[in-house]
Amino acid sequence: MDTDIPKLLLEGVSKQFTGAGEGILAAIEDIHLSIPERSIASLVGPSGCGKTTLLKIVAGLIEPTAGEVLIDGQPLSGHSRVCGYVPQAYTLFPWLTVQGNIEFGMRIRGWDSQKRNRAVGQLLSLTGLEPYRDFYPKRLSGGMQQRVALARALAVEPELLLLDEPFGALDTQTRSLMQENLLQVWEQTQKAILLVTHDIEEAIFVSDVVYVSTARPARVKATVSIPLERPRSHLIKQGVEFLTIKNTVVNMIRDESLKAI
Amino acid sequence: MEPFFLSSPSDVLRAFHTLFFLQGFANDILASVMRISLGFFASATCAVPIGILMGRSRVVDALLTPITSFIRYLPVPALLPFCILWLGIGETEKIMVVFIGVFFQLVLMIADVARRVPGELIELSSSFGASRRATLIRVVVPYSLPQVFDSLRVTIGWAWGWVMLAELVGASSGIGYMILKSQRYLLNANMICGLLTVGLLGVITDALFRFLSTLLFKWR
Repeated sequence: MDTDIPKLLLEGVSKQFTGAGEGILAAIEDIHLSIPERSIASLVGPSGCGKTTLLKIVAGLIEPTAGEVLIDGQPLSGHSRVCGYVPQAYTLFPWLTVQGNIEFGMRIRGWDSQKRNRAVGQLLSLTGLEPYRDFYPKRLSGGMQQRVALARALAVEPELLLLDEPFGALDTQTRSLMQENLLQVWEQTQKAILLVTHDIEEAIFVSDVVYVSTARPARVKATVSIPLERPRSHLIKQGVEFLTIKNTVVNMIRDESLKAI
Repeated sequence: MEPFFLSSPSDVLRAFHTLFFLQGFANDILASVMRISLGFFASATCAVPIGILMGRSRVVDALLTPITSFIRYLPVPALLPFCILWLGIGETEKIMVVFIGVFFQLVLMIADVARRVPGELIELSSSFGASRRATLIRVVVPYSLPQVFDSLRVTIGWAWGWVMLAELVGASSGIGYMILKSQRYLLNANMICGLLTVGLLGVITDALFRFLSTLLFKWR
């Protein structure tokens, strides 16, 4: 019975912003979405459709206007555990070293230094950042910064990971490598992940389920299961199965993007 | 040019010699430096925490910004008579003049610095479950510190102006007092010595601040 409860369940979540003099702006509308334990779901949609707003709601940063967010069947407000949030452009704390950044959440939670050090060690090796432990963010490449942000989110042993356009600021090659890196990290940690992106290929490559969003206000237009076998290598991106799924999603998104421009 | 209007370098050097060895100029310098240090230290210790709170809390901002903005526009020279009336012409009054001259400007500059902390960093901190207080200590303060330091570097320059003012009225020591005295006796070379000393001390202070800033904020 317990196994039927999804890690994350969104029921009719809506958010309206009341802008000054602009009336009411609906960012997301009646979103239903469910992510089972240990699985990866993506929300794909045109830029500016309100995807980030949805992630911020799950991260507990914004209150939804309507609807419910349930983690393990519990309403979000009553939760003491947090989600591991990786914001757009990964945003590191520039005055903290790699280690300091990874430790940030742990310090907030009041972990002692022994516990922190053990976790930092594990995360550095998981993300391949050991040589950069004492580096400040300004000296790291985009890909490294991204991994630090991921490690920082994982550090607090979150219920699930929330990734906002995690690879958006990276070049194509690095991006592709980072997607594989994310999957490796996922294989080891088995965290449920909600990823928001406008990159369809990325969404299909990493996810078990892709939710296609409409243009603003964001609504779930379609749910596409990705039956590709795991572990996945970048080579599957050239496979017929992958391309067929991609075509389907591309066409759905195209209609929505046309509405948005 | 007539030596009366602008003394020659050799006159100035001679004046320096007389000032230091016969007229105890070192004590004047020390007096001014002490007044600045104490007045500036006091205003910085008050302005930095208050400014950061003003920048981050709407309540504190609404309470304090109108008052500080108002006082900021009162010219310090116009407040000087009251300072003397209430505090006399001793050290307290001179330090107070520096304090008033710096504090009300500095506090608004610090508030602006704190206001400019990127929202993403604040959000990120909250996403880890940080309270407002924890975010203030762990994000707002460390992020703002380099610019706070810059503001201090700028305002300590103004402090020199205020200490000169305080020493021109009712003083018996200090570089400003020496300049005033020299003017009375038409010792123009001495006045130039005073100006050169202030400029030199300014350069040293500035270098010190910059050195400390690069030392403290390697992450920038």
